[in-house]
Amino acid sequence: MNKRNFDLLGSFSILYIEDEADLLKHTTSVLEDFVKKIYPVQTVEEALEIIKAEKIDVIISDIHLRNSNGLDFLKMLKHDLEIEIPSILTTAFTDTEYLLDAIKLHVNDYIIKPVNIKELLNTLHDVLLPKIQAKEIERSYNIIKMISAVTDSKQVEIIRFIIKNLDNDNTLNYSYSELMERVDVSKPTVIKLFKQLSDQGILTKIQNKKYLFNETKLPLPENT
Amino acid sequence: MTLLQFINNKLDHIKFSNKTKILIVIILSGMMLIGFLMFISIFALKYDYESLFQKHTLPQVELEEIKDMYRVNIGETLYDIKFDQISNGDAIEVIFLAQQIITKQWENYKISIDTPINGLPYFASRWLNFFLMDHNLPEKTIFQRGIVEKINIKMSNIDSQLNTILEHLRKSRTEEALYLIDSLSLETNSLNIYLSSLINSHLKQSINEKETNDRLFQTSTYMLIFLIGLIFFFISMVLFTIFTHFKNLHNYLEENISRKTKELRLLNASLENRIKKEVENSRKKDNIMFQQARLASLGEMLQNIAHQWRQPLGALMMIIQSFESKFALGKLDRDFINSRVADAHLLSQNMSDTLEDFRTFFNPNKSKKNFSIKNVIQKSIDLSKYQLEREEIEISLSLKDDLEVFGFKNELIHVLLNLIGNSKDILSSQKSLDKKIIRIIAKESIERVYINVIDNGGGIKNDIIPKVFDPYFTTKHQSVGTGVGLYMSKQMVEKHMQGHIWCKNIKHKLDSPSFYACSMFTIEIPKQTIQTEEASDE
Repeated sequence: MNKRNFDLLGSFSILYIEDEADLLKHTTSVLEDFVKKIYPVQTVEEALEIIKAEKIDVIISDIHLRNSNGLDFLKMLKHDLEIEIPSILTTAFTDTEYLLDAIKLHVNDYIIKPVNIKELLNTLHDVLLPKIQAKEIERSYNIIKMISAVTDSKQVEIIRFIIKNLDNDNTLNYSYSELMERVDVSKPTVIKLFKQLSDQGILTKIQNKKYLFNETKLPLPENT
Repeated sequence: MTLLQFINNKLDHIKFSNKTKILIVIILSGMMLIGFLMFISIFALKYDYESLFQKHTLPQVELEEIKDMYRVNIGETLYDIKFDQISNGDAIEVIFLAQQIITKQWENYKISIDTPINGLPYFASRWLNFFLMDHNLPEKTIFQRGIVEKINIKMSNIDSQLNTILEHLRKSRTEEALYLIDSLSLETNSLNIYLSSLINSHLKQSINEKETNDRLFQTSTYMLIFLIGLIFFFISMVLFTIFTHFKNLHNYLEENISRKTKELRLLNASLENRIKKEVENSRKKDNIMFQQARLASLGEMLQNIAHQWRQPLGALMMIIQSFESKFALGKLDRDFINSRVADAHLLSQNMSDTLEDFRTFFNPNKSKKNFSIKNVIQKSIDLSKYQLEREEIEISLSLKDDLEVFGFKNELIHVLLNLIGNSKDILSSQKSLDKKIIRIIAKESIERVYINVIDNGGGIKNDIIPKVFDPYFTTKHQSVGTGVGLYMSKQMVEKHMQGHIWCKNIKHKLDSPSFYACSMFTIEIPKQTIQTEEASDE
């Protein structure tokens, strides 16, 4: 249970559609411990109301609903209402007739009943990971922007240039003068920065105009 | 005899139609031959008759008359003259007349002797004579010819003497005339003798001819008899061979028939055996078929159990997992455990009930009971609900009052399940239908209950309607249908419930604005089945 960090799920809201009352009740009672909010519903109509009213991060839906079909519901969401929400389907049917439709709909995963809670949580995690990562990236970007606001902006620009122009072998093929031309900085600033970096082993000179970037030498950021 | 055998052998090898041809040819040619011969004989006889008449009878008359003339007219007149009993003039007249008549008669005689008889009879006679190798008799014998010659001379002699006498008489020289008359009497006498002998010769000749004639008649009669006999012989020979041919054919056919009959009898016997065997086989097959059908419905039931179990099973699994997850988070408290255990108990009770339902269905007690139609139909619907939901088929029951029926409850459920299953199969294949509906309508009359199972699957094709209750008849794919369901249903309804089952195509609205093409199966069962009729286990 601890392979993935399920604490990450704590910030998301889930819409759970399952027509079977018992299963709905018990699954909800398990899931509500992990997520910010779970909306358990038995019918498509209730689900639609929730989607309109609340911000939903992921939908878990049974394929076979009373008088309806989870796949059709997702199809309607995607094509008619143009709402893109990651979705997970649960089904009691082992046959593959719905699988093709599910793939067409870009359903994120497909869970066979009886539902294994770990599997469900893992799947939720995998589905939500891009969202978590997007948040992470946005946050890092903001950190860099804040750093460049308070320190020498020229140095930040050189670092950004270096990172951007690394080739596949993590080497930088530029001379000082070329670098100066491109970034428009003074030579001492460049030399100073390169010296600092090579002292820490982050950027070592292999030959003329060739510098190797060593990722492992970067200082570890504090755990956020 | 060898020739006969040879002919017989030949005939034996000739085809039957050719044999009849030969027979006909023989009969025809024989008839013609006989006819021809008869004609010839008749004409030959006619010739003989005519020649007898013309050449012998007629001349005899003439000669007799001439003779009479000479004796009566001339002789008597001359005698009268001699004794002067007649006048000269009269005498001359009479003699002259007699002379003329004699000349005439003589001429006639000669003509009738000499005139040949021509025409068909002559030829027939010639031909027959030639055929019989009978030499022809000369027409006139030498003797006759001599006599005729002598008569001729005598007559001219007498004539000239008579003329002289007449001359004398006319000149009234009676003396000389008398003298001549005496010698003339002698002459006429001798002439008469000649004439008599001529007549005799003619008579003799006619007697001769009569003899030849007899011979001729005899021979031709013999020949005819011989010919008829010969033809009869040939005809009977050919007839005999034909008869033996028929006899052989008949024997052959009889033998053939008896052989074939024997073969048929054998075949019949073996067929009877085979039929027995086949009946046995088909009974075995029927048993296997019923087993198959049972297994098939068992399979369907199992699917239903599986589904009806899957839901509570899923919930139970979730309850168990929730203990783990709550414990891991430190949220496992007494209240939670109590509520979950209560839920789990309910769920497992439900599962147990389901199992009991199916168990009683498949191990039915065979006793008849009063049961409610509504319950039975509802149970059938429940039992097939899973599959119907899966195919998105609506099923509804319409029934005014609950009806009570006495009989085998489970068998009726079985039949209804079959009908619902069939409707489901046809509806699931109809992709274009906007709404898939099965409706069960129960009605009653005074003595009977009618249960209609209607689906809007488009109805049954007319050409297969009479066959739907036949065993092994199926429209479904081999892997899906065994073709036994409806057959078994019919058996159960008719034998165990004393009811009837039939189907037809109808148009029904089924609560929608337009009409659907529907098929309707109707089960008709009496409210009270006859008690003495015990259902036997198949």
